[in-house]
Amino acid sequence: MYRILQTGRTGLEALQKKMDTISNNIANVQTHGYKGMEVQFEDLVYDEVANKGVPLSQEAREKPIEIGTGSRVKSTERRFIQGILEETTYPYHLAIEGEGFFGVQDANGETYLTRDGGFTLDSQGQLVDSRGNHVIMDTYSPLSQWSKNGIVINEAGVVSGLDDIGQPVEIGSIRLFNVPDKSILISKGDNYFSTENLEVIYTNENINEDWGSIHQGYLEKSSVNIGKELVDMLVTQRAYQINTKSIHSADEMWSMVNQLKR
Amino acid sequence: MIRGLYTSAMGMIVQEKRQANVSQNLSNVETNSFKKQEIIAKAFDRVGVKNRGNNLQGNRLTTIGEMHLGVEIDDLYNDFQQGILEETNNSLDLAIEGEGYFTIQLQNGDFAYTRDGSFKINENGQLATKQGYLVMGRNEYNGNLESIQLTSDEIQVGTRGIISLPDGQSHTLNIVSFVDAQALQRLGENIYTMEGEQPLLGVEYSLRQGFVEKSNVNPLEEMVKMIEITRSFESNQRVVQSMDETLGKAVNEVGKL
Repeated sequence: MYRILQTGRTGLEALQKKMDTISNNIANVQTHGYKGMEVQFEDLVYDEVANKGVPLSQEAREKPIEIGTGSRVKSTERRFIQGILEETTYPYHLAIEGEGFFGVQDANGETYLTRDGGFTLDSQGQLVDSRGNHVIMDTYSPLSQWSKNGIVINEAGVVSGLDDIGQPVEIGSIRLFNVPDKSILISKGDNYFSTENLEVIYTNENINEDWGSIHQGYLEKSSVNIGKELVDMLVTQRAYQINTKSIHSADEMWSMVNQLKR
Repeated sequence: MIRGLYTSAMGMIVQEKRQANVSQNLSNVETNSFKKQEIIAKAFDRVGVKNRGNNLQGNRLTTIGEMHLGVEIDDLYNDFQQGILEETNNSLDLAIEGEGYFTIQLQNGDFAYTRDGSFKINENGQLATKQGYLVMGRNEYNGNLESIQLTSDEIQVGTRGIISLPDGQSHTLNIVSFVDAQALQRLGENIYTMEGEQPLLGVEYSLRQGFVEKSNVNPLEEMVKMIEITRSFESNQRVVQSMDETLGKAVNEVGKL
């Protein structure tokens, strides 16, 4: 009886984790550059029923009759699918269409990857993100000198300033980063990702590969599909509920056992 | 009377195991590619019941009839019914529609089988399950069974398991089936192993890329089963109680003057 209660409990725990993930996704439906997470389950080990006192027929004795012991979370992973690009017309809002990431560096020199291109210029005229961390880019000339006439960033990330007669002058380029296996990325909050092993972060200078194009004046919206999340939430809630029923049922049976001797 | 006590107790044990199985199915109602199980119970073989009595011919046995002395677990049935396919749009999610299993390699080198086709590319660029077991494919050039090396996740998988990469084809997924699928043993982690039978190449399947197969547990069916189990358990419990009462009477009241 105890085993049955535990089986139900494992189901509740796994489903609770899925529910947590769904609510996190829903909470981030407006977060720029957010990528939805997904939980998948697997079954637990199987246990032979042939304990002492369990009546088994001759055929049943010859083959293993095993009952499972529940379920658990197999993987919680982020789905790196492209979000919709939303036009903002603000010149320092950038969005990536493709695989890559922007790189930002905080005050301690720590490098993070992000898909959130809601950048702005700080008081020194450098491109920074909403946390004030510097966007990793090559600059040949300070951006602040050119910002009065406007700055153009093309799809390859090349930053050009317009001089007084409106002619573009190349003043820098934004680097894109990528990792061979996105499942190794660790969420750091604030839309940042990091890896334990920094060597696997490549810039598009080292590797001549197309990691997507940059769109100026756009922001990438959250990849969360609210309809899917809401349906998933209902299904998870019901699955949770039915597992409480199986626990309740086992509890009822145990109570009947306790009443055997009055 | 004591015999009846054991018959009912056995009924309770079997119902308890059935409930354990229902709980397992319900616990995996959201587990991709999970296949429900069912415990099959049967009555004990019938035995003759005889009465020993004295009559004119002397002491002899008279046959009264036959009866069952209880219930026992006879078999476990794996219901390999197709689960519904849910679209995920992930190029590494593969679902088998029909009969078949992906071949994977366990850490000890043995082959095992799974229908859970939500794969990933591991740090060495090989196709693997989420748990990290390598997915096996047949090499297009020499026919060897080996792990599948991928250069990008931009793969196209045909309905027969042929993997096309941007730079050509290299492998076909090794999808197998079994003559007696009931003999598959469950290992947990959505994995099955098979002893005593060589896998055959799957025929009756079609592979769907960008889909996952959901669990085939039907909550309604399990709920009804659960009601039936608890009530049947309860009746057995009542029988035990009333036997206890009758025994109590026999012990305490029969000898009273």
